[in-house]
Amino acid sequence: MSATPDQAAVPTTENCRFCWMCRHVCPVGLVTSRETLTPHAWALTIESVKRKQLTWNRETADVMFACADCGLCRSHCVTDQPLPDAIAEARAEVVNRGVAPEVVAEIDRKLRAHANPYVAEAPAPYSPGLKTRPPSPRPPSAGVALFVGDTGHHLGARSVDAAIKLLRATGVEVVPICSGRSSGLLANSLGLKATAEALGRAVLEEVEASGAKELLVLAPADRWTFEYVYPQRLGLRWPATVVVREATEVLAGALAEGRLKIEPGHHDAPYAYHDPCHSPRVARERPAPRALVASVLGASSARNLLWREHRAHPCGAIGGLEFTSPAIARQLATARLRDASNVGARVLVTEDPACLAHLGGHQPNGVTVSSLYELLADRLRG
Amino acid sequence: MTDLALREETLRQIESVVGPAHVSTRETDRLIYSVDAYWMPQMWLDRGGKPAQAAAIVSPGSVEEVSKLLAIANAARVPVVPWGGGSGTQGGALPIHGGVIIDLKRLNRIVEINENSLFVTAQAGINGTELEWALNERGLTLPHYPASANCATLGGYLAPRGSGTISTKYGKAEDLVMSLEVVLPDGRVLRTPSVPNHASGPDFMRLFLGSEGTFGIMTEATMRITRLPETRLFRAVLFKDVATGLEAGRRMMVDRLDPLVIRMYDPHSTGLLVKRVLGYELSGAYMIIGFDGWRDIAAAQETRARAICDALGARDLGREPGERWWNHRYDFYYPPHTLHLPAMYGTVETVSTFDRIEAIYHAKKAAIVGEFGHLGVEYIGHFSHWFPWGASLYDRFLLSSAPADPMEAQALHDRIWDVAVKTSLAHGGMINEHHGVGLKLSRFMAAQYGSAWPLLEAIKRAIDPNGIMNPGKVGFEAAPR
Repeated sequence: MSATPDQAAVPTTENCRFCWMCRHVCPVGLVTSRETLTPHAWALTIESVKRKQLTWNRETADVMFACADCGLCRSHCVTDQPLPDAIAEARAEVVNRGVAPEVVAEIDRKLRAHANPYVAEAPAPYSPGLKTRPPSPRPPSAGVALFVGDTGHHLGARSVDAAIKLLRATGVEVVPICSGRSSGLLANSLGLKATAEALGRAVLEEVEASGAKELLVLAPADRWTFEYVYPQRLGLRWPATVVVREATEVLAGALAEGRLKIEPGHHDAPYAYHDPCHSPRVARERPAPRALVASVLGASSARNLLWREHRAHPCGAIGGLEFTSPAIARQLATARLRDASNVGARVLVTEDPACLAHLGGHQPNGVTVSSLYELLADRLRG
Repeated sequence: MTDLALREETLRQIESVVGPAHVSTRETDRLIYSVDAYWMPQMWLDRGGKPAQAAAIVSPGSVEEVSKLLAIANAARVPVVPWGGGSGTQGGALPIHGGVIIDLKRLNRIVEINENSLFVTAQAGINGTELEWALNERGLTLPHYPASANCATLGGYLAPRGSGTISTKYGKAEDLVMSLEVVLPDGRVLRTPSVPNHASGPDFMRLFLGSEGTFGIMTEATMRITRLPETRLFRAVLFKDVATGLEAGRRMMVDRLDPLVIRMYDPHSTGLLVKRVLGYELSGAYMIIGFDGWRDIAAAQETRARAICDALGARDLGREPGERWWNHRYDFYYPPHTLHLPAMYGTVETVSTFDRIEAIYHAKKAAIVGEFGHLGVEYIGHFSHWFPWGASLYDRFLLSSAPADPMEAQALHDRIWDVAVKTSLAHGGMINEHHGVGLKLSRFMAAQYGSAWPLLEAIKRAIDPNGIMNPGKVGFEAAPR
């Protein structure tokens, strides 16, 4: 039987256009309930443009820019179809044709001018305490750097300070780098390939200049960017001598070994942990952040979200949705908070500064959003 | 196939019910909703054609909105096509007469999980796997595991009377229903009695199961659930041929061993699909048998099943090939494993009693290969849903290189279907066991039901006198406008 042609020659969009098998995990499809905003429909839209049944215009562009680029479709595909990469490529084509949502060009200008989409301020050396205190002296040969990025610097400075304090308490002195500098992930998701490459190269230069052998990241999004987006989507080579690790893994290891001592809090409110955006697409130690939260809030008060771990849904601060499809970004945040509320959680804890900022702006149902690093730093013993 | 333009006034009325954000006439939406999992519209799109499109896609958020929408459509004589996951293979969700598609996915709430009486009430648009995961969190399961669970909705389970992988023990989707909420074509909302088994008159609930949106729209269902079992035991055995395997399955069923699953691939499937997806190179009929429940009881049932297989000369392949099949049972449906374009294919499955099913298999194989083998058409099959009285034959035809001209491809496709279905009917089989009728099998309904068909048509006219509900499906033609 030769009903299956040589698949090596078949583009992923051809494979995915009439396949519905990842529908159940697509967060955008589930919150919008719109067939057109599901993985198979994105693939079919791309293929229909190729066949001249549709054209790239504002309508089809809006459809393509509604994808969260969360990777759940791929991580749940048993044949590993790289549909998110194909969608990122299609967005680049849409950008090149000049029909992307207007906000994309605006973000491009900001990223090129300031390396972040938030404020008209260029990257600067890290300065703790929301830039109210002088910078801490840079250790001469720490060997470990911490990627702060634009979200850490502009959206989560307190989390960054807390993470550095915690790492220091475990004996790990880090050099904060790339404060205020986007990794390029946002630009890549939005189809701004040249901008993404430029940002990526700037990050690589800072990493190499730091002399670090180990780069810690605050959240899975940065890890995925360095491990996958750089080599696979941008053609950038990550230095082989630099290992990327999540700060939560380091801290959880120290906690288990007794090098990080946390004073348990006196909370009895049920809480849940939100696996940050991009979590399902990285091979992370999923118990690590949970162990850290439990050290403060207690294991018995923990509640499991339905959309967790390998099926964790993003909160909306992903894929540029906050800019291109703010209504969907809001729906995703509301869905995450409802997920917490449905299991009786009153506190939702996470570590990604972008998630914290986004979820923190949508708390209508009485669920409080808390920073993992800040919770821990506040209960640091000694 | 034509688009039916909606009058501006009707569109405004619809928008006033659900809000403009939930009504789309966008080109992209209309194209995406013009194709489901049926080969035909996919083939047309693939070759640059344009399947029939709805004039608008509407997404109601409540049963009240569905009711108002149907009342508007009924008054305006606008065709209405209910849409769940769009994963049906029979073209049941295709808007072949234009009109409006009502996408039910916003009706996605779990209303109640009752752990005392073991039932769940959920809205019809909830995704199957999402519902299952929510139940699993409490140690419960809805024991309907179709390959389409990831994409189908609860309403989509019921509309075509679907079967799941473990239907042999737990029944088809229809057997799990306790009650339904349905909106009739004129907008009336009705709920069937709260329990399915009683002696309080005819069971009109079943009228809606299998009606595929031609009698109304299901908006909510209460389904029986069960606790996740203490154990699930799987193993594989190899029979020399289909006849011996069928006899083993029959004995397991008539001896009431209560298997969770019996799935037997014919030798051609064993050599192709089982090898390609599971990696086993075997010659013969590969059968998976499974039991679940309490550990000791499941083990005892399996022991008896093994004795039956041993007595019939089967080769025991052990537990691993059975467990591997269970863990990868849906891999068959992912690209590139699944059947897909540019090939031509169709699942011509049927069901019948034990005394007929083997003859049906041989007759269909002979008819399809005999008539179309020279074109390269192949035939494969497996037996997957078993009853105490018979089994379903899940058989398929495949043609790796279909004619390039879409009209020619469509004509050949329909001819193969004609031969397959007529052979099933001629040998005592049903035209379908679990995919439903949809558009694809519509033309065979009169032959299937014979003298009873006019009665079904009369029922359709009584419920939907204006013929707005999913016209052209399940054998019911569109009413003249």
